[in-house]
Amino acid sequence: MTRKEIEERCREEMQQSIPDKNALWEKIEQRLPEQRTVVQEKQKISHKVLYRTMAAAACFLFVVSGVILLRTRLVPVKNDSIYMTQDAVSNEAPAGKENYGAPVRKENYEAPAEEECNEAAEGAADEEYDASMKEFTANGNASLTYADLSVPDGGEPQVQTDQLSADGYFTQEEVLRQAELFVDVQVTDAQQLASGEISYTLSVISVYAGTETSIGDSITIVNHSPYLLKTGHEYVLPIYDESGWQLAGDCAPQMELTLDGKVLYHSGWISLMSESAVPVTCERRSKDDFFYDRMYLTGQAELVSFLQDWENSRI
Amino acid sequence: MTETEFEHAVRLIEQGDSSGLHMVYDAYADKIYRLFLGKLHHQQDAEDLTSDFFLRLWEIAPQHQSGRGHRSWLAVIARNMAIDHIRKAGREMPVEDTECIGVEPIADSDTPEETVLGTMQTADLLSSLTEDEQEIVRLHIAAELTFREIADVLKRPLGTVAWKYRQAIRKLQKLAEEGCLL
Repeated sequence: MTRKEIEERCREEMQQSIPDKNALWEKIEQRLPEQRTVVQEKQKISHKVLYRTMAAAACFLFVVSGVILLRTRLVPVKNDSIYMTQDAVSNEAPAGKENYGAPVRKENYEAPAEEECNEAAEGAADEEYDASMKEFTANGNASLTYADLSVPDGGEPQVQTDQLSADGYFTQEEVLRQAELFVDVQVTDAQQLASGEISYTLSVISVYAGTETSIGDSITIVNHSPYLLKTGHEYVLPIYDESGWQLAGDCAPQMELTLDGKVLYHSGWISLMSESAVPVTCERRSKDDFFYDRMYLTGQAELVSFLQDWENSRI
Repeated sequence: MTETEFEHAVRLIEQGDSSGLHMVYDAYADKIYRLFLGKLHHQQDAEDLTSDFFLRLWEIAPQHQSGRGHRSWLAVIARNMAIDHIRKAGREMPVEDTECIGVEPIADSDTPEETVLGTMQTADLLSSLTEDEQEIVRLHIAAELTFREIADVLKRPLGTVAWKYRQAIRKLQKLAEEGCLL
């Protein structure tokens, strides 16, 4: 049975309706209290809160004005480097790196007025990200941009910005590790289907499976991820078989191998992180682009080590 | 129901106008009922708890922060009420309970899979999933929440929720192909 058929069967089983919806509503309505007391209490409480807030604000103003008065009389104004503006700090290019653009820092990004972030889900995923990233960002490795990478045609990664959504963001290695196998592939063709999905034809270079697996010289993956695979580029993809090969973790950019033997990956691949990992950034393409500053470049040694560990765990 | 419509309903509830609660009831009563049914496996309990849910909502609707997803907020309240009810009852309702909701055997058809599946209840297949998987499948299919909303309700990362759902469906597919329960 296909996935859709299974879901349809589940839907038939689960979508039970209330036997008598009108009768239940009548029961509810009869039990509703006659008057709402909550609003009146809220009004009383809000008056108290208002008076307290005004009193606190008055005290605060008194204290602040007192401090300002004292400072202007007694403390000289400093104009040393510790008072450099935020812009000056973030746009200062390291010596010898004049050719690349200033790194994009999260704190300089002005969030759009109506940013629809699911803070709970993003925060939960971010905890794991932040915990592992602390030690690496502290190294202060200068970041690169995509234009600095050695890839077939250079340029920015391809992203369907109208397909990006905060709903699709995650960075969990635990999920990615549940792939059935990893394939080292080169994209030979990419065609957009009527459904909006992309059908990728991939030439298989290597397979990492832990068990003997033969998948042929070429495979096709149909995928809806807004982070597109570029024709001619080489990737290491976590895949599994579900009525055809599917990408595990298709809500993020895939691992890419550069022409000079390095690995570009997103920060969810915590196992690949090392002291030598270099951040790779680009302009944030939309409010739902969560990977513009979460890509890293590392040597192949980390990838080889990870794949060996993964294969051994599968044997 | 859009966020704007929900906020309008909440404003009516704040003013003591039960039409606001009725708007929410119309939109979500069945979904809330299915959530309870999936947890309690008991039709009458699910109905009673649905009634309690809307009575509670009448009291706490003004606490909803406007701009935050109301669907996941409602689902969290329902889930917590179900858990409290189960704890008070001191037991989980068995699937074999006589008032359990079952499904009529699916009519025979030509394909072997449909024939096989027709001889066993979908409820039995679902019970072969882990608690975690069942809950995610029910929240997605019965309560029609998005994976993002489910991640919010369960306080789990989005990727984990999506992955567990796919795993659950694959498990059911395998069971259907094998034609037996594990």
